[in-house]
Amino acid sequence: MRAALLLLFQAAALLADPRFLAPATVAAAAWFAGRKESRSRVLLGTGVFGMFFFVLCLLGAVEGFLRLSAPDYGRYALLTLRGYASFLVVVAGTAMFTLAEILCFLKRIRVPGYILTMVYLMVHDLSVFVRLASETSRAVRSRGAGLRLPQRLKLTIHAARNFMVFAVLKFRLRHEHIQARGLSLDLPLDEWRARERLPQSG
Amino acid sequence: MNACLKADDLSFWRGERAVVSGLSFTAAPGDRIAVLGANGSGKTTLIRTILGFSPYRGTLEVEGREVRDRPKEARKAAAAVFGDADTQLLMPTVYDELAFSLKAAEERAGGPDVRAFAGRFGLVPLLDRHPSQLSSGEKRKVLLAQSLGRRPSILLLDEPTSDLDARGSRRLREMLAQVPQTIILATHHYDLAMALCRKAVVLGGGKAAVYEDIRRLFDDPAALDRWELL
Repeated sequence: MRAALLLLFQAAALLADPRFLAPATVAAAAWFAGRKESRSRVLLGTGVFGMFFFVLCLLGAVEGFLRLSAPDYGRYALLTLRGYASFLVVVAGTAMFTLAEILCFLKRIRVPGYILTMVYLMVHDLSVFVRLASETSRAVRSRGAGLRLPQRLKLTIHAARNFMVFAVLKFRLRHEHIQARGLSLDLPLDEWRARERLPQSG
Repeated sequence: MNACLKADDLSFWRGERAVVSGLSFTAAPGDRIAVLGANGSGKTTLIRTILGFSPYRGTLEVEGREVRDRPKEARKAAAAVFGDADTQLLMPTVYDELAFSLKAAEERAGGPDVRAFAGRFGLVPLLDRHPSQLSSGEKRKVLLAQSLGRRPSILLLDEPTSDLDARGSRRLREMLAQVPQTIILATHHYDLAMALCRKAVVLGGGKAAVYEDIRRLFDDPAALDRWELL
């Protein structure tokens, strides 16, 4: 039932008329942003897709100003909207399903154990990334205090680059951990899902 | 003498939980104050609060300016070294790390100056290395050097010896002993606190106490037990 609903949402994100899709997407984003559990994810996604949209508008304005034969920016804007709506479907999916359920589903459709393990580890690493991102941001703000904008920008660019290197390193380390223990950690997914289904007692 | 750091009836939070209430202390230029307490007692949060990264109630002044009103000024005056070196070493090489800090302090960032500055910390052989290639002890040294290169009036250190071996800890202690800045040192290593600091701020159970003489704290087994320090 939940999976069917999610598929329906995804189909709507890809196929619905933009006149209906746009207000529905805004309403969904507002709803998710109002929930504490999904707020940070939605704000992050809104920032990324908003940036795409802003760049498209900027390009359109520049092309218009220069009277060049502009590509169809409307089409790209629609794709951005559909991408953002699909992102919200993923957010809805994470609210509707537990990680164990998602991994069980992936296992059932015969996704290799290595990928299951990597997904599991990377989802858990997300909290580590969030912590490190906030520590890095504090370091940048601390060292950049009182500096001119170009220097602050330089610091921010280096910090972003460092963070990417760290993320890649973390991914490589995880890959090595999995390889060191065989091709998959053979996660006890069924057991986890069964435990989730037990009624919570106090 | 004017205080370069002053807290009066200070309360601060981690998330929605009050960590410490009613903390009052002052640090004069050149003072070295140890911040002690069990895990989760609020040592790191105090350092973040001094830098204006966490909300607080009460008075907290860095160089006479309220931190909540002028957080950037507080960050300019106080340089912090936190536990995780990888999130704080941002430049492609050790040379660039030091040059950036020296330039920020409006010193000339030419070759000889950076080299001379690096020499004071024994970092010349590491200048061309990427920070990720350094050992934990070397990273600590670079962090300390880049922090001092900014010429802060206050140095905030959060567990500076947490991943150092005995020799590394001793070298860092010797290095810190030469530093003229006011030092706020949050640590679990009591020998380091005793060797460097005259004064201690102890945090625990939402409360705080200030010991003008750190030896009085370590000579009092009941206090050590009460603050869960031993």
